[in-house]
Amino acid sequence: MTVKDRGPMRLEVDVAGRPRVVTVEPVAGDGAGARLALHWDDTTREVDVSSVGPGRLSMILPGSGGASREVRGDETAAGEWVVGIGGRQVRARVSDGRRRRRAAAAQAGGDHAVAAPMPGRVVRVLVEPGDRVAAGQGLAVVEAMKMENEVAAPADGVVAAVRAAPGDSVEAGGLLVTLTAEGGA
Amino acid sequence: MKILVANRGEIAVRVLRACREMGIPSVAVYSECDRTAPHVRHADEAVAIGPSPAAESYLDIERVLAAAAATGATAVHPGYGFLAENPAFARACRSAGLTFIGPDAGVIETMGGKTAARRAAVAAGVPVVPGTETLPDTLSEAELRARADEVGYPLFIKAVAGGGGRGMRRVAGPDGVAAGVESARSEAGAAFGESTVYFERLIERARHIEVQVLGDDHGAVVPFVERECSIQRRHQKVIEESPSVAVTDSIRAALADAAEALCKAVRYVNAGTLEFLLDADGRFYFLEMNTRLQVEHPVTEMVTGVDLVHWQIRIARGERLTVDRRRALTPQGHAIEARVYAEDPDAGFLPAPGRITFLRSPSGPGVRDDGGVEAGFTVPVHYDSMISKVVAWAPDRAAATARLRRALGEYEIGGITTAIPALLWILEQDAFAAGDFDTAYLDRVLAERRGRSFSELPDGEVDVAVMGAALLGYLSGTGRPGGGESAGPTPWRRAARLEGLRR
Repeated sequence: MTVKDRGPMRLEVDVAGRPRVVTVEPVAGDGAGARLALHWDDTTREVDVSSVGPGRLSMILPGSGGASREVRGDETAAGEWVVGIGGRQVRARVSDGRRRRRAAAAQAGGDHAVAAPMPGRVVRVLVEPGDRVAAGQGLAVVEAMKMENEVAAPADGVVAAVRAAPGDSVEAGGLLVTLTAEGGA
Repeated sequence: MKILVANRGEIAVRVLRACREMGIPSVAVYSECDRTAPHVRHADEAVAIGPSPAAESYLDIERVLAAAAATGATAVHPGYGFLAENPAFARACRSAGLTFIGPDAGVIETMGGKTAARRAAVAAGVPVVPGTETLPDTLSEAELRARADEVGYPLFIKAVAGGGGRGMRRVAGPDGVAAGVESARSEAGAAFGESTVYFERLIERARHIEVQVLGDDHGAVVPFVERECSIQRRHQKVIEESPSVAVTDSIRAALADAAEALCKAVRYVNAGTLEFLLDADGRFYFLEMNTRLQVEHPVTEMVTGVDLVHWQIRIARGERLTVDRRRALTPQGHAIEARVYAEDPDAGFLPAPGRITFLRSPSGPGVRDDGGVEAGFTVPVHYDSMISKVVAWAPDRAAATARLRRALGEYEIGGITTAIPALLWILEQDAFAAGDFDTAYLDRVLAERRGRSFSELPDGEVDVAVMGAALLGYLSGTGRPGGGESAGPTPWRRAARLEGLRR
């Protein structure tokens, strides 16, 4: 598939905590990469973009005197990107809007599934079902790469269930504890 | 000689490279998750030594020795970490007829055990930080507190077998003693299989200065120009350099004399490092000795031109040390090393193991990258998170700093996050440029940042990031039926889509 076949697309792009609606529009797709126009807010930028490897783009910006930039992207979860740019790792969220609305609806329940932030081994579980916990309070300790990391409660609540035991191996995103939100929190 | 390298990661690669350079046959060992690790392919032969947890592979003396026997290795290089400072391992190697590339087991016991090393230092006339002997497990809370009161606050609880900040706790006053001892013992027990701890006074606003030494079987000891390792996060070194801006010629000479005296007193053989604290008045105190090669040895190599690993092997062969003392103590230019950890600096430096999808390491003038990973390799959860060290050399410190920033900016590691944005931020600080820091500096300035991202974009670059993110999303098919959005990340398909852009 070439860029010309794709047609324009409207995307919600959240970079550095600020959402923007960006329209991406192919201008030309000649042999040496592709020329696209991007519009957001009052900005219009043209970019000559070329793939230089898996997840890596070379961008040349004719409107900025030919500024040359390399970006690298890892999609860590659907629509969630870590964009590497000049030694920085910038979090970005890119979606067409549908997913975000679904996520917002799912969040409305108020319960929290507290998961391991990285793969590792459960060293200690610090709470029991029924315990009342405050936001920031440690719930469990997970060891990875020889370092112990405390996993904290994201909000005030009551421990509904403990899903991990000391010695368990967990994957990133593996469930440790579920919390029921406190009414007044 | 045929050398088995009882280690993994970048240090195994470093040592195996030396073997190749010296024409010495080599053997790598590897655990299950390291089957595809680069060190396996830097060796002439490779032997599986067990499951991924270190205790069942890299820390298992029997399995390492069995690998040596099976391959006919005649010598063992332990690298750093794992079994490198385990006297039982050194002894077992020698009992099995293997040359242990390091000091004698008895010397490891003396100098590697922190309290015994302190006694040796005192006997050799080298100043030490006030502290206790090892604290028996049988002491009551009240007894522990009494010992702590004698040392004075603030103090450190340190694991006898500790290193890299593990098994170490800072205690501000009497109330924290009991809990600190308990958690230090637990962490040290898990990390080193040895939970004994002791107390040591905390010297405030001190720098961490260390002296590399080489000693041979014939009684020669050569001390080297100091390394400055004060840039530490939670007692884990992050940036190291040589020489130190805080060390004058006279301090350097005194440090060298102290290191030499202590090494000669214990008949130290092979490579080792004496760690000192240097206070604001230029007084130094011996802390401990690492009886092995250090992570940060390359900065010394780059300012002296001496290959420390080659010399470790030559010394182990019984050769005479011919490194000139004056040359070893006279730095040519300046070298700075940054440790690249697989961590997410924007999530409190959370470990970030995972599969590396892309890797471009820095190169060019004055740059050395000692790495232990490559694209396609999964950084395991089982071991230390350091994946590489980038070292920059230049005629002076400012130029070396600029070069290191350039090199880190070139480093592209896809698939996992690394601490590179934080390294770049540190190197941009005025205090770093001025050399105005102590061992508490980094934790202090990190706390002041209150979690602010290290990847904040300067004006003008935000637009570039927006375009980059939009194009990555656009080209990976976000929002299309069956595209990235509903199916989740699929690197190969994403790569294929992006390939559509190629000519």
